[in-house]
Amino acid sequence: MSGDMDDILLVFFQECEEQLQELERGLSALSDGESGKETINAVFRAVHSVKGGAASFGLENLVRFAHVFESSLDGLRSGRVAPTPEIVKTFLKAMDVLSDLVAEAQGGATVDTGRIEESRAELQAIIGEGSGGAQPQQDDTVPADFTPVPVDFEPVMADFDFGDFGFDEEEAPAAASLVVTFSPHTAMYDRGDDARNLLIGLADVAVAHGGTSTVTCETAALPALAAMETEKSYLSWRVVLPAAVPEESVHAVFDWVSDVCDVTITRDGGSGPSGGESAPEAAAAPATPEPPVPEPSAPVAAPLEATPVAASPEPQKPAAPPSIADKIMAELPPAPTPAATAPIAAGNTTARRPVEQATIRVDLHRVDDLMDLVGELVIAQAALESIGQREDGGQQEMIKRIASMKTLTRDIQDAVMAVRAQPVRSVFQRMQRVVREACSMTSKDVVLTLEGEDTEVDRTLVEKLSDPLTHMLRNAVDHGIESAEARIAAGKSPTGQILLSAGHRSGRILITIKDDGGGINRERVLATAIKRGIIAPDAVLTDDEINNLIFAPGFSTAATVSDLSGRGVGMDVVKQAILGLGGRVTISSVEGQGTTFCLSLPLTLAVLDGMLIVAAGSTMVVPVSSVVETMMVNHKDIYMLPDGANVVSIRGACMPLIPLASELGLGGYGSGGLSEEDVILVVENESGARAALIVEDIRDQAQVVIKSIEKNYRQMSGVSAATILGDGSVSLILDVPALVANALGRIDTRPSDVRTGLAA
Amino acid sequence: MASVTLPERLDTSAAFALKSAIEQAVNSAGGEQVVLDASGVTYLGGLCLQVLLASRCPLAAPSEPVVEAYALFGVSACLTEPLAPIKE
Repeated sequence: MSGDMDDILLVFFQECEEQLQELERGLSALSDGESGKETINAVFRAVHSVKGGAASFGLENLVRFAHVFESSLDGLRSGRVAPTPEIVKTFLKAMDVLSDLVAEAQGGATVDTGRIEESRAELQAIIGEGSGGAQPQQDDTVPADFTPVPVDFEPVMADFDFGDFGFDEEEAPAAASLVVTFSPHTAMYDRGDDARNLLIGLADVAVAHGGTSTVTCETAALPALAAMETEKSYLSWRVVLPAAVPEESVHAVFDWVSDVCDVTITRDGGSGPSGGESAPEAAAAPATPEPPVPEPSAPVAAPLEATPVAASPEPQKPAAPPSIADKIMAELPPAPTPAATAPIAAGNTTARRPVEQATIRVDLHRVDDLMDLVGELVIAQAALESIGQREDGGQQEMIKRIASMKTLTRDIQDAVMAVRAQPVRSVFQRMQRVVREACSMTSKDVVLTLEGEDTEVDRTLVEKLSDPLTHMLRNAVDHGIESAEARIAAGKSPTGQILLSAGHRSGRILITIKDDGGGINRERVLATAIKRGIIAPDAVLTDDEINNLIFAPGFSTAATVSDLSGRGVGMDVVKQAILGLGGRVTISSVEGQGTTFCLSLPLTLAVLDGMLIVAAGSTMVVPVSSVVETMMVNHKDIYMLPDGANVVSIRGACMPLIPLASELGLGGYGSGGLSEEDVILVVENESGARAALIVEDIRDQAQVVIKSIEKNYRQMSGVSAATILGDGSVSLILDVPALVANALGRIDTRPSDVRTGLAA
Repeated sequence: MASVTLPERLDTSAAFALKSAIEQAVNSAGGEQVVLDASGVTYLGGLCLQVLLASRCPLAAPSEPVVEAYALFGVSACLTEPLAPIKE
């Protein structure tokens, strides 16, 4: 496929994504009982746009389903159908099917036809209820008979079930298609325009009104090659557009070429495109492999909608069809709409995958900000240059300039981050669906509440969040939330609640998944872990450690393997994914009240604010976000525990003392010996557990660029990454949470338990 | 069988060269069928379409853009079956 087409298709899929989000939002609002006109219109628009776009690419499956969906929504829009919870549920289900169809068109997995049919039937039932039932029945039969067909044939725009309902106000009344004939003058090509552009314009117009154009090319005037003049225009075209297309929009297409192109626009009387009178049409219509199906059988549909394109004369005239279905079978053509074959052909294979190209949409003002800053940077650079050329050296001035450049660099970095930032909404909204599906599989009733969807995170993170979140939510529904009976017995509402929230917390993003289910059954977890040989039978574990067992590879908490669990993707995969993003997962669980998972992720994977400290003579970086305070401590505040470890009491709170150098195996320190000059950094992990790091000195605070140490060397415990300092030396970035966890594990877990207990 | 490889971009400005190339191929083929290799074409405009149709030469391995363009121009049938020769 051409690059152009690919690009357009890509944009279409991006838009689909947005429309689906819009749809999700609207339907959620509807299910919350917010059935304002605006909401319903938004939902309708979303489906309509998907349909319109899909039609122009000939994504037939998508178009047909979207159309049924749209018709049902129209019932809602016109007030014939009330948005009862049942109906909203049907719409939600249909939305899932729709987004699967979009994914399918994008080269994803093929959607089960049974599912499509089921949802389609439900949708039709909705308007059936609203408008007296007779019509939808008929509709049911036709598409049902028809569905298997397109699989065998080259996909076509056989959107004959368009307008099946005849409900669409805009489409129903007028039945006369618009016939446009035009022959470009030679002057049009001289001017640099092309008949191609006109045809594309007409096709767009048709699509904008929910149909397709039928193009016939008149080649009779074409001489033999030797006799032709290349710059002369010989061909003319006849285009049949859906009746819904107003003449003005056709005029608009020819606006620029009206003086160099003969155009006639006529309304074709009632009988649709095939009833044309002109010679080319008469020749083409019967012979077309794909004559607009519905026309002859007038009762079926609004013919205007059913105007697939194909204009290839072929010497076979279909006899009057015995039945619609037969007719369709017989006439499904090999020749598709313009641009239809290619997208579909490619869409059905995985060939599209590699084409996938990452693009983002950015608020223009963010780009403008960035541009302004770059302008400033250029000025600053010029200023520095001029200082450098000065005779007297201009030391003072230089320092001033460099300081302002530093601010600029930081601003630019922020601006670039802002460009890459994306609200987590896109991922969060997908989770609604995950929960819905998990609910229907486990027959539980769970409401997912989203909070902080507007929290912005680096784009790379947003994308990578999807999988872990999916697993965790499935888990929450499958294992976390109890069955309705058990919930009632426990005195809870039969409807489970899951809260998915995102927020910023000290330079990181914190995502919590909180359910109000049964909590982790630690005894069972422990027993299972022992049974599976994950831990030794005589191991003594703290509650936290037991909770964390569910992240162990090969662990399954489910008493029985359900559809959702046992897919070979466990919580260990989740943990790996989060760790891979530089994040951390913590669990807290109160039996009988629920479980909370906290994911803490860095905002970006590129730069962090670090405190430069010295341990055993080498400079290291501690992320500023994890430093709570720094202080010098008195020896009398340090207490030794029976096992030899030290704790320090700071304003009455005890926390483990970590001699950083010996912790990292650098030596130079005894067991927690503390000299007078040493400084203590009180550091905190995401769940609020604290520890005190002993360092020799604090050097500076600076922004450091993160360089992966795993990629360049290998994973090291206690070290999350490395960086290159201003003097060119390599320095390690400490993994504070790991250090804290180590210390807590060794010494005392109570502080963290108290806190997490409160948090839950 | 002689074959002409069509250029990537068949826009208005390419029409003349296209016609010359095809004519030349037809002449040198001496009555043999000339096949137009359209596998590399990414854009096809109206004037070049005229030349392709007028040549009455079959297309070999038309690229997707060509298939799309033929569909857009309503001449998909000519992909497989060139226009009937002109009676002279």
